[in-house]
Amino acid sequence: MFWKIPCPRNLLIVTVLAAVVPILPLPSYVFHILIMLLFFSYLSTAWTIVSGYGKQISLGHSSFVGLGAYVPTLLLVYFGITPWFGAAAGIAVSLTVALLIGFPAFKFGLRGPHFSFATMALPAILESIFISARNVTGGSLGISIPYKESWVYFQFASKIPYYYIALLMWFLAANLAFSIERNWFGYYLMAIREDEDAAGAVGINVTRCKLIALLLSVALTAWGGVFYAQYNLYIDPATLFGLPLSFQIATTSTIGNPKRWIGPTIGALVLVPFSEILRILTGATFGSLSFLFYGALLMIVARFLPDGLLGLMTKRAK
Amino acid sequence: MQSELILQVVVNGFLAAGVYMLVAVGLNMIYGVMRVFNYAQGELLMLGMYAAYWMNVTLNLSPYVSLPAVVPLLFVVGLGIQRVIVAPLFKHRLPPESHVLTMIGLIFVLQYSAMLAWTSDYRNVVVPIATTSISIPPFQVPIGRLIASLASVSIAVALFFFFKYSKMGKIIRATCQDREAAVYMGINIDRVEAITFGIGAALAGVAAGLLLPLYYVNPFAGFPFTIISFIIVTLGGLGNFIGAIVGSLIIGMIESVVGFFISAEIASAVAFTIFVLVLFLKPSGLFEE
Amino acid sequence: MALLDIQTVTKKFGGLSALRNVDLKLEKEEIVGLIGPNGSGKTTLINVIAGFYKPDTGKVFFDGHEITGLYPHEIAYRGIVRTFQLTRPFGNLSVLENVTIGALLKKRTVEEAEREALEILRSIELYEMRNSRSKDLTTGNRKRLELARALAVGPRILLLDEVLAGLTTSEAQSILSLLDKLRREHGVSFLIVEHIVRAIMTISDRIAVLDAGEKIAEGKPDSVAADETVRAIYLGKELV
Repeated sequence: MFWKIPCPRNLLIVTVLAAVVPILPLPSYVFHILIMLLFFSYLSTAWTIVSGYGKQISLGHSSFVGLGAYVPTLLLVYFGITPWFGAAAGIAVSLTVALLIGFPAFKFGLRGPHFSFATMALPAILESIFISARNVTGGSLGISIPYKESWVYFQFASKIPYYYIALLMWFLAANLAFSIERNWFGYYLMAIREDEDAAGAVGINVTRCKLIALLLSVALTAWGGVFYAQYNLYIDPATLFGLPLSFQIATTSTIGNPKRWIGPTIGALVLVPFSEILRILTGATFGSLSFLFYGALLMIVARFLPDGLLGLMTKRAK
Repeated sequence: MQSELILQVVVNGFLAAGVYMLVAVGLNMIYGVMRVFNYAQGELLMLGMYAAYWMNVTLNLSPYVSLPAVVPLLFVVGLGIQRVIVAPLFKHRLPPESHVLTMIGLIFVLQYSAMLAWTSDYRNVVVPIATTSISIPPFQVPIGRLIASLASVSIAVALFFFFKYSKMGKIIRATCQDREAAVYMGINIDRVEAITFGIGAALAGVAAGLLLPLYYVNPFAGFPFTIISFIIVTLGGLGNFIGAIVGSLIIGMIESVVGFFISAEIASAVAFTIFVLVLFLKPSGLFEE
Repeated sequence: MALLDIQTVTKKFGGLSALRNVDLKLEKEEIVGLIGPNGSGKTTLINVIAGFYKPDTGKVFFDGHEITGLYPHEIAYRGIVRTFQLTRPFGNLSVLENVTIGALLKKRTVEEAEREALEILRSIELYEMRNSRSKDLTTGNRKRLELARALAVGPRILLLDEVLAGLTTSEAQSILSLLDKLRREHGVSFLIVEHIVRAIMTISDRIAVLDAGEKIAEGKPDSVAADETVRAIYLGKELV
């Protein structure tokens, strides 16, 4: 249903170019930055489907990254199940949780700040649970993914395969967002964004649309968690379930432009290399300087650039 | 023996409530008047704690003694934030998403500025009185918490009278209830908003002075208080003064009771779950204003 | 059997009875005008029919099926579409996008919906403004957009809430002829709430009058205009 629309030419060109990059003899940390860039673009694009297009601003998406990371990992550690299959469980759990929160939330008409509050609670609850169950989950110390070094277990010795997977993830997510923008679902989300009651008056089932957006977003996000676990080979509750990650995802998309498919990618282009390079150059203390930058940029964009940096770029182009 | 334990836990609950009350009430006020959620309330608390800390280190002042300096300082900071950051959001009619995002940005900016300035080291001030406990049989009452709770309650009472009888208090209440009508009545909304934010920040300043003897401070120490305050305020009803007090009691009790019998983490999980339930079932809070 | 059958509908808000045992029928291809002083419950009735309120007592039937208590989007899907008294366009979206969204209920692709939308815009004379941002429109054009969007949904019954207010005489005239054309060529039935009584008298087959939530008169425009109780509530103003 969503794939009938041909993919935007720019996206295709960029993807092909990006696919060729590994030919160059670049050092490993460059690929790390690129992977992080693709990863956050991916996560933010997934976020924007429900929070940008649908305006149901979720400040709790890290819950699903965490669930996507932990569930397959636990299945691997305790049952030896490869993450390729474990991912299905991770996504299923995430979708269930999302439905549990989302369905009553939308049905009871939780809107705006109230909805955002509720979403903030979720990662906190999950973080508490995963820390408490320390016998199973290793508590706040987290889990190291057992080293298997085989593609069967979604592990690779070099960064290049991860790079291609991340590239594919980003390509698919961006393509999905692009399609949504142009089909009936995107139009309905626009209507809901503008005026929910008026949307109902023209026959839009607002609750159902919000739920579809939420589930799509969550499924993608959970897969992001799977990827992260297998790439980083270490997961812990504070990083994955923490509110900072949620804020980061929301910020990245908002800075770019949460209402266009390419917005989150632009946000990531600005934020990720900056923070990664800063971290590599100066170590953890000053690496967090990047958050200061995030915060300031977020405030500036919120105040002066309702269409994000993308809006700024397109205005200049005119 | 069992009942003594339970009573102790209950008392701890009250004391915990007293600690949260001030921050929650400040948050509530700001929402009531401005319809803005000050997501950065905890960061104001954090700044206040650092202020008290540095006054202790450089001037050897106990945090209780430096209150008269810290509180006005935070009042001014609150005023500044309102004027420079919050007021333009309304003046230019920006959508509610912008408010949320601006405040979140502010959180980052405050936290990481503090980190740059003072590193992420945990700092604390040792105030011998605060950590000793009095025995009021059958309870053990840590004096620091007792002071904090008593101070909170006194301030809450003072605020109550302020709102009910003083001119400024009535103006603030009126603006809370009906902003447009207040404008028509000639009330200078800009001033009211600035002062309200200032008071909200000042309350965080008071809490800072009272809490520094009890808690370590680092750039991220404020955030949990923001979260707890939000839970309290949602429970009690947005903008509802009494609600915030009762909400604090409820949360204090949960923290103490569940924390004791199960674990601290589960206590937070329970608090959050109740928060979410209230949001679904009665988003206006347990009490109506 | 009436197309729309409203039976003893009562709606209270707290202590206030906005609607009291209101009965009203709408036949196929009929235009019924609904008039009455401010606060008499006209918009409330529309809200009840369209599913925005659930009545305390009473039922609403559409084509023989009960629709009381259904959600607004379900009622719109079945073919009853309402407009809002204070227009509610999708503000940041263009005129074309607004109407396209309406059309998307019955057309599955955006291209088809857009084509339908353009046709409607042409017939309602909003074609020139199709790319304008809807929140920037004048009141008159907003009303027309509201109507266009409702039309795009493909209604069998249109509930129009003060669609003529704020229009110039010629604009109102063109709307009225459009409504008539819709009735004749597409078989659409109308329940029109209006303040501009003169206009509604000319176009309606029947008029119903509400006052303080109760229906106090109903019948052909001439007889309603002559009715003593009706004249009284309008305080002797000229009705025709």
